[in-house]
Amino acid sequence: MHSLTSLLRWLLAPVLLIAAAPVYGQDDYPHLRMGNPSRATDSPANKDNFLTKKPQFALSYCNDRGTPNWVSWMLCKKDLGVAPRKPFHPDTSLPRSFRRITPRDYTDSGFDRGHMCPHSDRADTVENSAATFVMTNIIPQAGEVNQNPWNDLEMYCRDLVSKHHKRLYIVCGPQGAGGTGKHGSRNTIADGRVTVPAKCWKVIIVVPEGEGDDIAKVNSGTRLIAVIMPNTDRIEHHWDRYRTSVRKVEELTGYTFFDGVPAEVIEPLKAKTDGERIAVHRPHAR
Amino acid sequence: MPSAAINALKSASKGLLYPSETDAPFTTFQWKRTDGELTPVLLRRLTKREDDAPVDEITLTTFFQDLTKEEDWHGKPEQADVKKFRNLQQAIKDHLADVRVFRVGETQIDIYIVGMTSEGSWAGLKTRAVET
Repeated sequence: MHSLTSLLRWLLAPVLLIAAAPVYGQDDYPHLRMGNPSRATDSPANKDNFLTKKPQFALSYCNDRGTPNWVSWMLCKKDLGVAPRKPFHPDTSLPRSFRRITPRDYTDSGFDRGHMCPHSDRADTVENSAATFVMTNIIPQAGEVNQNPWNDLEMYCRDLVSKHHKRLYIVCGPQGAGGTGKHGSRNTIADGRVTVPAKCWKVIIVVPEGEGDDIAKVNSGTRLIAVIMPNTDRIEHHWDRYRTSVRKVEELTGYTFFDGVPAEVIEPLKAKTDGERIAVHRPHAR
Repeated sequence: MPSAAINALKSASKGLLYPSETDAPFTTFQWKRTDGELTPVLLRRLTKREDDAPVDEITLTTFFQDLTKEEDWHGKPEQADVKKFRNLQQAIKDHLADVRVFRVGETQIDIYIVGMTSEGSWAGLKTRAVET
């Protein structure tokens, strides 16, 4: 009787697993694998939460702000490389009824053209690198933020991938209005067409590199990293000082992150603030 | 007294901004004549940069490649800039010999387009790029 019960349990287990499995899309598209934070859709009527899925990253675009709401991408070893930078350019894939933001909209604004998905996260090919210079991947970012703590966190992420055999799912974006750049505080630039965020945020889920379903890799020991940085030239240079919980970023933005992961696994992780010791920062020349 | 080369480069680069994550103007410079080759070590000294500042060299063609290319999405201002950059590239070729282009630093990169004037001094244009 014992062996029959075991046999039955062994036969039924896959059926039970499938029956209990959450209904998540079995997409090959990796950049929304962990979820769609604002339930963006690609209906042209959805102008301020318009979903664009590119091979390199996914984003929700806000026509009113002239920037993305968020950009989401998966980062793994094969994405790294030395492809050169390409010029910034408008996103011609947006519906015709949308306002087209060009690189010129940022000229003399006092803010950098700040990448959401970084060029160096997509430097494996020229095409992938060039894709990150599309203006729907860009926000007006204070130079001191873009060039220091934001950049340092981007490099930290690439180090996790290149040196520590990790795979990352990253979402980041702007929030609010009113940042401080070289010409002082601004709510908008380009005659009101582009909103200058008050804060920049980023959430990251770190899973081991390797075969298998990345969602199944998430467990109670999985590392989540979240930051909220003020969009000001007076920022501190150490990114780890801006660490917070994913929950706090959800409260700030109203978005839901990583809901592709079963709630009982991800919810406790979202409440935590990453406390890993961050190694010595690279010195800043100026 | 600025040479004819400097005046020509000033004129050709007037109002132009080098685009990167920011936009930077061009300024002209002239170095006292120095014997020997423009090595990274000499370049760091001439530009008063630290000993370990990264120095990368590219060709003049590479520097101007994307700046002088027309794109479908260009409007009138972008088209005007393409023309100005082509004009600047020509002015550099006309007034400087043995032109070399150096990129110094990381994240905030100083770019030096330097060549020899007819009077035998090193001169050229400087601009800046932000690359994160």
